[in-house]
Amino acid sequence: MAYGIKTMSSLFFIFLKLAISTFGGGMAMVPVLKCEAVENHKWLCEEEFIEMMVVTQSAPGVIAIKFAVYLGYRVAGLGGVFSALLGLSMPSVFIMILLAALISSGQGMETVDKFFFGVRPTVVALILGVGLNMGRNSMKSFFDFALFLFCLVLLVFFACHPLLVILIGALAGIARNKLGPKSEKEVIP
Amino acid sequence: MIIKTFLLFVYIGIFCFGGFYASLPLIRHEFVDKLGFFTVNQFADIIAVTGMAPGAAGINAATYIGYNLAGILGSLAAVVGIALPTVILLLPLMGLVVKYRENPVVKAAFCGLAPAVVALVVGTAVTLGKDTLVDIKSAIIAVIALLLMRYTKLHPLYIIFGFGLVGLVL
Repeated sequence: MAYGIKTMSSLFFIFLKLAISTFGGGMAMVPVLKCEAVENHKWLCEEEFIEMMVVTQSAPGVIAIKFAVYLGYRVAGLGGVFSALLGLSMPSVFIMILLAALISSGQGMETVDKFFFGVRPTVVALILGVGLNMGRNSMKSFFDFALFLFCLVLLVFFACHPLLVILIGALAGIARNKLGPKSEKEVIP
Repeated sequence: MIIKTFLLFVYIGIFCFGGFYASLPLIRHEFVDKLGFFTVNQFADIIAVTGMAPGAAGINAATYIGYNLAGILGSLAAVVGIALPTVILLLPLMGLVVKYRENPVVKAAFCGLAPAVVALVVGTAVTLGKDTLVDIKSAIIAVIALLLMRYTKLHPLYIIFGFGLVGLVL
């Protein structure tokens, strides 16, 4: 009850927007999500955004739902979870029914295809852009960069499970803190 | 049927590790092989439709399958079912992180987690890009989109739909 209706309605609309503009899986939500949560509303700082990514990757479930639950709860408690989930799932019902009708009528498929021809490369570019932006903000040492490259190779060339990459990152961070020279240590504020 | 739909999606929500696409084999096993609700071809159609539509693929699939099994109420049951385990499992995990955030070991772990998360995001772009950037046109679109994002304050939403419209005229 301590949370405002205003916050809940912005959560609802953000996830509504996310639901309508996401093409290609939950990770494709990251650019819009970061823009809204970090830049526009300032609900999370850069470090907290990374924390969100870690926690959401570590639990089972649909990625988009995890984002909604995490951000909703962080910002406005259980009411926020509900608003975010409602916004996220409402468009799906309408769009799926609409799309099913479109497909069965055999019309419009060409238009949908053309639309996606423009959308798909854009989504790739936006995800890459957010990744590079996050990297600039969070990677400060040779160790960070080496670990990043190692994880990237695991993911791209060995189709390694994201959870395993999260685990490796955590262990590497702990190992460096225990073994590395003092000057190399840095503390996340 | 509605209760059965709900329970099936609770089950999928619990074992859906690494996103919806990672759990496709599980969904296929349940709905096609074990229960026989769909043929293999129908299942392929479902995946095509859910992948094409905007929104979370998992929620799209849940609404679509739920609707086919038990109408509008079925699609609601499916969405609530797939989201419920996440709510129950994620909230305590969030609590734990908040509680131990100041712990030195946890802090050290997060130092290594930042590059790992960046790799996850960049890795997604690379994997998607391998299938998507297939010709000069798509590569040019990607480069322009990246520049727009980097040097303008445009909301990503406009960039996505803008290039969708560009696709229509190309």
